[in-house]
Amino acid sequence: MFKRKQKSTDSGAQPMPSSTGKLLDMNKVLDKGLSSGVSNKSFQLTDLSRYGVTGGILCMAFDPIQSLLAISTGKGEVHVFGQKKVEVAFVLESSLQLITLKFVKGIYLVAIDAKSTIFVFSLHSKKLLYTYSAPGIITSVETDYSLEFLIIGLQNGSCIFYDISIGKVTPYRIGNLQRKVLPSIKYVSPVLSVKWHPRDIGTVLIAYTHVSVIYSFVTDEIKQEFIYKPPNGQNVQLVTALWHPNGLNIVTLYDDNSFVFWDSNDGTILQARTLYDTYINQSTSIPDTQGLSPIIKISWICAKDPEHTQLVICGGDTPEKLGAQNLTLLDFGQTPKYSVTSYENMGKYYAFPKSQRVMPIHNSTAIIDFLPLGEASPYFGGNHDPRYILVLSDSGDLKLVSFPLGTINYEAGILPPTLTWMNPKISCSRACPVPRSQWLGMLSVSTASKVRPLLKGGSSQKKSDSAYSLASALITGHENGFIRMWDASSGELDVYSLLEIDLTKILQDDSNDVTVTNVSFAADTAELAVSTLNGHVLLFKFAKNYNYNSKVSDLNQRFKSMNLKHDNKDPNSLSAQILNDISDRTPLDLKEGFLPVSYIRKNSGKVTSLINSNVGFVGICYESGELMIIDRRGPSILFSIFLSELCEGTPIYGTCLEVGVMALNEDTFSSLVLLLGTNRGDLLRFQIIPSSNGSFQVKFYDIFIGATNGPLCQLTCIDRETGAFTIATLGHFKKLSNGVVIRSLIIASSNSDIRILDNKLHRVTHKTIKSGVATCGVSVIPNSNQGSSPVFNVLSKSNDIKVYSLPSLREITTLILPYPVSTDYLAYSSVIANGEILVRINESEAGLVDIVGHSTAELSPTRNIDQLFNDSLIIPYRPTVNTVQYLKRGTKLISYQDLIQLMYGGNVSLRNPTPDSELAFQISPYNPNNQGVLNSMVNSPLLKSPSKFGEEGGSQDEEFNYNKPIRKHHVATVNPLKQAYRSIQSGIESLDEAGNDYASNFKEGLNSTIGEAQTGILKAGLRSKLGW
Amino acid sequence: MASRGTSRQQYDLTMKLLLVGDSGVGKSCLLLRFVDDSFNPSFITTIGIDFKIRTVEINGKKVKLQIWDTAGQERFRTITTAYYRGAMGIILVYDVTDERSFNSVHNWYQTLNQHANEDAQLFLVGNKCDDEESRQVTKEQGEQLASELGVPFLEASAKSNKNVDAIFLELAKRFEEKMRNTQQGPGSAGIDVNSSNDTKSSCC
Repeated sequence: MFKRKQKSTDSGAQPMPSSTGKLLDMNKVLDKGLSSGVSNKSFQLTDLSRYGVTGGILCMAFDPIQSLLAISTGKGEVHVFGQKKVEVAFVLESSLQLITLKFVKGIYLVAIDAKSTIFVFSLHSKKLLYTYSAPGIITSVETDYSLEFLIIGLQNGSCIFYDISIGKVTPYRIGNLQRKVLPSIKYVSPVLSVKWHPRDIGTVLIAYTHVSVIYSFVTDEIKQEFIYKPPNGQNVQLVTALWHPNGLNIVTLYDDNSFVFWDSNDGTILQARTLYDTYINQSTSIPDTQGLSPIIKISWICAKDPEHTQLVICGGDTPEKLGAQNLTLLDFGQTPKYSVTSYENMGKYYAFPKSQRVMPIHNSTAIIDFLPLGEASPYFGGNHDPRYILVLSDSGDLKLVSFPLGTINYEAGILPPTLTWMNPKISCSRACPVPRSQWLGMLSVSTASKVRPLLKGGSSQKKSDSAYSLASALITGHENGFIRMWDASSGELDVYSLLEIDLTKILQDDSNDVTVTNVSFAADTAELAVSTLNGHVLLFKFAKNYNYNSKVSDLNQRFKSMNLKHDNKDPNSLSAQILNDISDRTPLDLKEGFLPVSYIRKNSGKVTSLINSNVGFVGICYESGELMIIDRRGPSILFSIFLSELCEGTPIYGTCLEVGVMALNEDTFSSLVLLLGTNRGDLLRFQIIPSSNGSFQVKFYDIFIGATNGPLCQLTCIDRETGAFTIATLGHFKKLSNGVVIRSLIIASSNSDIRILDNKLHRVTHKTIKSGVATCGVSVIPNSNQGSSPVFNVLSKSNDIKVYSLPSLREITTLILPYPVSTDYLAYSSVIANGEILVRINESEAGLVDIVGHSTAELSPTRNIDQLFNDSLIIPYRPTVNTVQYLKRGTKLISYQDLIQLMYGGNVSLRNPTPDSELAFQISPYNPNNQGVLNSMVNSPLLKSPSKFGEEGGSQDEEFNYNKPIRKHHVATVNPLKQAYRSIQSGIESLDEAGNDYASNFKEGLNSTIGEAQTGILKAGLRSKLGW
Repeated sequence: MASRGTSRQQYDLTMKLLLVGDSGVGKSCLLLRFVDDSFNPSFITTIGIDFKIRTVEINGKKVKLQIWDTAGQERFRTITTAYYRGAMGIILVYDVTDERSFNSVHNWYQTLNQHANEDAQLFLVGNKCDDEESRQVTKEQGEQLASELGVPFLEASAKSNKNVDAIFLELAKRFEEKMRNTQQGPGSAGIDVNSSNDTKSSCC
């Protein structure tokens, strides 16, 4: 209806101007029709690219071999990221929440939803392979990267085994073991956690509410049970149980936030403690953990040498109502050698970590999960030598925490662009055109290219190129004081061409105050103005840093002094110092980039509008109604006024600023004019004129009351003769002294209407947009006369873009957006002069569209063309059990083939190979064809732990009588196969020495060989179990 | 394994101690000197909160000192709670070679009043007293300020190991005495591992 009405108006030959005054003059303007030669055929909407994901993040998974990261979103999508821009999205038909993701065998991604449905995706074909509904509620799951079996712990306390490669459950089952151990407890305990032994695929650790058990598949029996009874008689229940990376100790976590370390072989308690109290099992007092948030997760992390371990604990140290807010790190250091240490010493070892540190995350919401990104191998539960930990908060935000340092790392370039885009949360965004050559020059100093990215996997198939001479810069301001300038013109965001400013570093303040609320970039002068939540403004200039010193680290500077803040407390300096020189805050390690220039601290409320014009004037509007104009030459405060002094009535403040060039009224020369729109829809003009002393002065010129209905949101100006922009540029500025007369049209818009005024502030056109205006602006697009014409684009609040002619505001066409948008964030969208529009789709997502059909068809963002799976990355051997454990304790080792036999009760014919399972076997460590490659990899220096080079590290602690075994053979000459055989044949004592040295190539070689050597023993065990 | 774990009581009392003061005054150095008897002159900024334990013997009782050290992050809401919660001794440190850190003592004192337990024992320490050449704050100034605030005072040096043990031991002693005096009516201060009273404190 609305559209038709619009058309009928348009068909009228004489649009009726709303002003009665200068009818003739305006008709002349309208007749000319700046948008002539443009018809609806000129437009075609192209979905250029999207940034971010929809909905918060629910869970994540990391694959260090394929080097991929997966996340699931609140909208039921799974995104898998690889190197650079590689990204594939799996969209499920149901929008159920996926709460678990696991990478398995390099080719599979397993997802589990909240309704206990399992989805198996192929990273090769990028398709959903299988869907399976578990026969009960899934309470825990466990995978091993090298194995296709998913252990599913159910609410009824039993475990079933799902074969990911064929999408079926195997016949093998484990019943509710708590019932077996503690038959007196009638309550049916769910499986709280199930964990594969880190070095033996035939053994698992299962936690129930009252008992943890170590269970062997091979013998089908409980090897050890662990029941903790606090001396104070408290009734505690288990939360989870974890293996030490060597499998010799375990830790069990209880719901009173206590955790107990045990000898996994004989069940001796080594240490019972809380985060801060130790030996709690030897005291009758209740640990002081009441009123604190529960510990939600513990990870047992190991360094490259897996005998060096750390516990990372989330929660347990903040009031219950705050939820988990911090991570606590207990760094135990090198594990004492099992054969020589005592229980007492092990107890001490767990009581007094080498260091204990609280790592504050300070989220606005509680932490719900964390994921160590172990990079040394996919084993040890993914906890093998992480550089980073991903922390997920309740609001769906991801934070990247450097490990073990504990600092939150926001540097762009580590995470893929989509995640970088959202991390930290975007507080404002704006797009603007930049001359391409200038832009490329600026991007060449991008620091992101120096960052070592996390992901290296996949390969990109996307091609894109921009046809424009103007590049689009996308500027995002973030919650923690980050400002990023992205190159949006190549379609996809690229973290390698990204400029970043960290306000926390410059202001040495990482509180909420530094949240970025406004950004304004002047392309001509490469200047940037930024406002923060506390109403302060920072000015930057893109330049070379003459104090550059590559050798200075910036780490200490960050926390060192709070000088500026201290000064702030001095009441005398507070009023005197509005404009502060902060050029000394330039990071010394920044060679070229946005250097801090000025810091404007005015106690005038929040900044409601900010402009850094291309001619060196900065305009700032404050909540209090104050307008301040700063001349960046100097810099100096040029002008300051409260708008209430100029017009009476309701509280008034500026909502919109622009600096244009125009002849005011009947002037025969043009002036620089600062245009200001207010919250009441008024338009004010301020004239900036040179004064005799070479500086400038500002005069209030005139006001147009009620230019728009409601707050004025956007202002721009164009030449009424040519349609060219008359927004002040350096070019205009230079010409001003020649007395050129520029008759500008001022286009003002609110959330609901658009008003065009001429240089005398006479009404030219007015249009009400019923669907509401999210953002609008002028684009210059090619016309049918081989030239270009301006049109006015309105991104409406009803999912479309309306294109209007200038200056008559006749609707030319309406283009429907290819996706639904949330009106809450739409105002952060921008119309770019080159015909592109940045659409803020919702809080976490944005898209770039082109409204002119001049981009090539290939540009459409067909998402899933990137490749993820790399069939040449062979999975390393799974670490094997310590020889001490094997020989002294009679641990029966089981091979991969035996495990399959076991799972299928000997009836392996149930399994038919699939294309994916064949590819998976191609890179499997259990594939005999890979043994040669893997054994040579084991000897490659790259894969050895650092301690293997030359000197043994001095990390061992005398206290624990731990002497690291000295290798008797030079690494390079060791043949792992030979070494393994020799070791097996020699006595226990000599084995002991090598025993703890898990990371050695010898051990990894042992995996394959011991498998063969033990076939006989196992066959016997299997036969008895399976009744052959 | 060589022997079974001991069931002997490891300690009689637990005392939580905090180190506060401007960044760079040497809080971590004092802690390191006391716990590990080592000194590292290079400036390493503490990130987050560090936590160390040393057990000392006071009047025949084993007092386990839990010592917390941080770097300028106390102001975060989530840290403040964990940090000040149940602290029984607070060492307020300034640097005698940096007048600004001395001037900050008042600010710190206010913060402590706001967050810390009422009956927490304070101790003012002027660190780096070995460096007479760069001294900006006299011992008398320190003493004067301490008496104004009504707290004990010592000048110390983590570098030369002057008075470091004395500070911690004095705090532990005062704590042990207090606990002994309130033995009949426990509950408000510290954690007596032999009693099963809830020793929660409120300091959010």
